[in-house]
Amino acid sequence: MKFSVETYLILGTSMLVFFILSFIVFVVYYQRKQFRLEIKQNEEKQVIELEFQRKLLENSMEVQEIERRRLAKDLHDEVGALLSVLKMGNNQLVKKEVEDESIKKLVNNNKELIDESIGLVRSISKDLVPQTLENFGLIHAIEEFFHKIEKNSSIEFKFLYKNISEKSRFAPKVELSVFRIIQELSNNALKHSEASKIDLILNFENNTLFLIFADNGVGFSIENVLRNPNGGLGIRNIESRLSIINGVIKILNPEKGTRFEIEISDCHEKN
Amino acid sequence: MQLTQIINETIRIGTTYPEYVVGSLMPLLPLAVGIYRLKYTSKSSKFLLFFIIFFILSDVPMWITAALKINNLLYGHTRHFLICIFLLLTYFIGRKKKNDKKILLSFLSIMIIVMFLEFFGIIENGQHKWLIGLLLGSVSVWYFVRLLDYPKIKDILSYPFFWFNSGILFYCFSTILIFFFFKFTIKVDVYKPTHFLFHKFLEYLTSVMFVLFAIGFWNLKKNAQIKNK
Repeated sequence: MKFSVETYLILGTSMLVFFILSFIVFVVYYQRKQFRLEIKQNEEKQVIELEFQRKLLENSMEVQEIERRRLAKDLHDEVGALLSVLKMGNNQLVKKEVEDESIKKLVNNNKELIDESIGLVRSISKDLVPQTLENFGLIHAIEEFFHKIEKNSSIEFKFLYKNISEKSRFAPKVELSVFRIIQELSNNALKHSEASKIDLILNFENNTLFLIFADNGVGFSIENVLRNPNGGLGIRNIESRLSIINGVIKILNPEKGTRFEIEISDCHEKN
Repeated sequence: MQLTQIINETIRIGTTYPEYVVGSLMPLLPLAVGIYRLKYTSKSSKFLLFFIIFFILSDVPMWITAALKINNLLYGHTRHFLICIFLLLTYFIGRKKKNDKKILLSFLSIMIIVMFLEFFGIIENGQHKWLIGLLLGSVSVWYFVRLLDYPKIKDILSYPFFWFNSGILFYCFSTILIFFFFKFTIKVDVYKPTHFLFHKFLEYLTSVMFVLFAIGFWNLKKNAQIKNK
């Protein structure tokens, strides 16, 4: 069978059409594949970056805690010791018979000041490193903290805990973060909320720690706070702490006051 | 008298060779779609719209000269050359990088050289078509390669320039054999049925290009929506 030139040309053109269409299909397929790959790579990069940021944050928090500990130790061991020596010296002065009344008064006054300073150093070093938290756990530490604030302010604290015992212990990282968050929220409420009552509920279910912190104060707009470049440091601090321990925070504005709902997942109770 | 002759002859050609009518009317489809999506057009897609208008308008003298039985070979060659230049400029307008523009300018220079070579009889009359087609086709392949190098487009099928480029690629490479062997296909002295057969073929292939352009214009809105997301 002999084909004419025109048959060859038609066949050739048809083949070219086929190749062009195949090439276009290939372009679509390959571009989509490349695009998916690019998205995947970007996602992976994002995950790595987030993980890196989390680690960085965790390290900075750790450094912060180490620094607090060092400061607490220095205060207790150095300043505390010096104050004790001072107190002893002052006590010897008190025992000595001094005729001048003004000196007597001064020595007694010094004694009071030294006692007050010793108390203050103890209190500060205790605040810097929550010993109760380390030794007895979250519930005791929170109760102690609330009790201390209640003594010095007119705010009424109500603390409830469910599915969790006084002896329950969690990872030190979780305990410390939760405690610091409660400290931050309480300080904020004391400073800004004008609240008369603060409720704290701690619940532990399915390896998730739920925390509800509510006050009956004036409330606030989170958007306004975050928009202010000088404000919202406390909230950002809380968010940073939560990001390290797989936690999320929801800030709600009920009719009165503010309500913070915190959820920390993948949280295991230690025996 | 002459007008009646033009109309009658045009009707005769149109009814004898309806493919020519299809080929001449097909650009109206992307033009209509392009006008419909005008507010979403970019610089280069707007330029492509102008190309379509040019294509339609420059086709009218072809019909008139054919009806009057006037030799329109030179006009046809010049028109084909201008069509290719127009299409190349569409890429030129669309690209932002200086290097890309330099590459396109070098292609344009080669095209003009080819045109002059033919004009001065250094290369055979009609030879420029496949050469220019090859050059323009290479530009469209190069464009696809650039597209693959930079996979930022979310949905390539909604990307208008993918369709425009496909149309150009299709037109350039599918017609290359017909133009390359023009002595056996579309030259005036070729056996008439063969001559008309390949002309019909060309009309269909050109129509496919315009259909692809129409799809491109239709996707302008979708592409704009994806970009805004």
